[in-house]
Amino acid sequence: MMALRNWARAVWMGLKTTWIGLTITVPYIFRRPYTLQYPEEIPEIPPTERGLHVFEIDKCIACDQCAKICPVDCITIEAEGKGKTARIRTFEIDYSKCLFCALCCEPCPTECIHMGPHFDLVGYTRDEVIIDYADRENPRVFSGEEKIPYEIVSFSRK
Amino acid sequence: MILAETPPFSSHIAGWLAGLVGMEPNWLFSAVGALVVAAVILLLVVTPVGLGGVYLERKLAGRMQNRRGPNRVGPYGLLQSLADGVKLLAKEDILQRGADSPLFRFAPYLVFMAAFAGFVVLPFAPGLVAADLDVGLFYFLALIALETVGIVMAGWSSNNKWSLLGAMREVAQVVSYELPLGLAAMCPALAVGSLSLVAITDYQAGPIWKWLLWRDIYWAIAMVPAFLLFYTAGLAAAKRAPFDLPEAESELTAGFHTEYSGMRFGMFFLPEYAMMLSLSAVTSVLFLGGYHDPIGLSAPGKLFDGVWWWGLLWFFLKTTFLFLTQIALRWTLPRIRIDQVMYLCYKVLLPIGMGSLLLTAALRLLG
Repeated sequence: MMALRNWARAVWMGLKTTWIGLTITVPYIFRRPYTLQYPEEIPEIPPTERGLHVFEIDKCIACDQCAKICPVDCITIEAEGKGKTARIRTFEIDYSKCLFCALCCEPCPTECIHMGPHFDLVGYTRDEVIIDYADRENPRVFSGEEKIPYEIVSFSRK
Repeated sequence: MILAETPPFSSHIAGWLAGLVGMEPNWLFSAVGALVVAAVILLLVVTPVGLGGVYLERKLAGRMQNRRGPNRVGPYGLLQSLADGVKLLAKEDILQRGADSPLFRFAPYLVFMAAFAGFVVLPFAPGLVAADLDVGLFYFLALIALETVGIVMAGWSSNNKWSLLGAMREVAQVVSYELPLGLAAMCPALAVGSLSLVAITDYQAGPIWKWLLWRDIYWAIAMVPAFLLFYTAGLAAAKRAPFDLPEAESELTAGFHTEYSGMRFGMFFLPEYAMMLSLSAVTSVLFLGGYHDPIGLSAPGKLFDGVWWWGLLWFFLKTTFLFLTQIALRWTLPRIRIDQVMYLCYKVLLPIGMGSLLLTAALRLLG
């Protein structure tokens, strides 16, 4: 009789636990999915994010401070002219090396280089992830009169 | 084929064909008529519903896991199954070295055939049945066994340890679960006194309390366990989680269809959904009144008596409901071990099935 009672209890528990499981999983069907439709929806990025650089090209005086402090030597700068009137010809950051430490932003005397909110960069070759910031067509390069459309946190020591 | 009564749609076609040829309608034309209805059902109902079932499963699985499910191909991802089908057609058909070529090639067709042949006896609506066999229920259960043969062929001829293990599990599982499945199916058949699915459906004409599940309080004692039993054993026979041991992707790669690729894989994939669907349909016919609505409008002499679209609507509502519960169960319960599968079958389901059958027989005897 005991065995029969245990059997009946086991059957009942089987049905009951299945029901409990369903009451947990089925309500999820009616909840909003968490998935972010990535290329169409961009996640909210905090302003302190150290993403791809944002560069204000007209402020840059080509002092080479950022290239010197870079621990992985990913910044290459070529300049025209001397002193404070110098203007950059190329300002390349090799993102295959860059470790997003924001050290380049710290010594900049004119605060022209920032860490931006962008995080996606893909290419088929290593050369494709070397970005030229002297190129005004680059969407992350802003000239003097342009306003940066998102909040930028200063990493400058000044 | 022993036809209890030639169903209207088939006999219309048979009569039309006979008139076309200028002969008296005989059994040959009836058979052709039944074939035409079966083919039309297969093309217009089963294939879209099967593809829709795959879509529904993936969408619901996604939502139950806080994902979105397919949403890239077409609006709301509705064309995902179709895109998958095209992809499967374009894939290479691989026959690996050491496989038993003829058996390996034939197995998917057998499984496909067995799963879809079950739809022939399903009464979708009043008159809309390809063949109203006297032994419809028996025929349906026999096809489940036939599918097993195809799966064993696939697993054994693959020359792959995973496939063989999957096939062995399939035999152990499906052959065992045929016992409770048959016992559970016998309860309504005994109550009605017929194995014809149309006769069983029409026995339940009328409002919701005429359904075999709870026809009256004594019957409910026998029928509710039989219903749960048929549903559970059906899950096992269709190899659905938590009884998906023959394909157990986390242990056996893909079980019996590990070595299959391209459309041959599709021939295993689609029948799974066809099987789920036909089992849901048979469950609804046996216990939930088939194409009769719960208000009783389709009862003889009432407003929608013999109206085919009204019957089709309710048939699909009931079938879809059972289908959805199968999907929900798959994404709720973990896969159980093979010894637990056997325990459940022989020590839990079989005694319940025997009890239900005994009770039904006693109630039938007492009137």
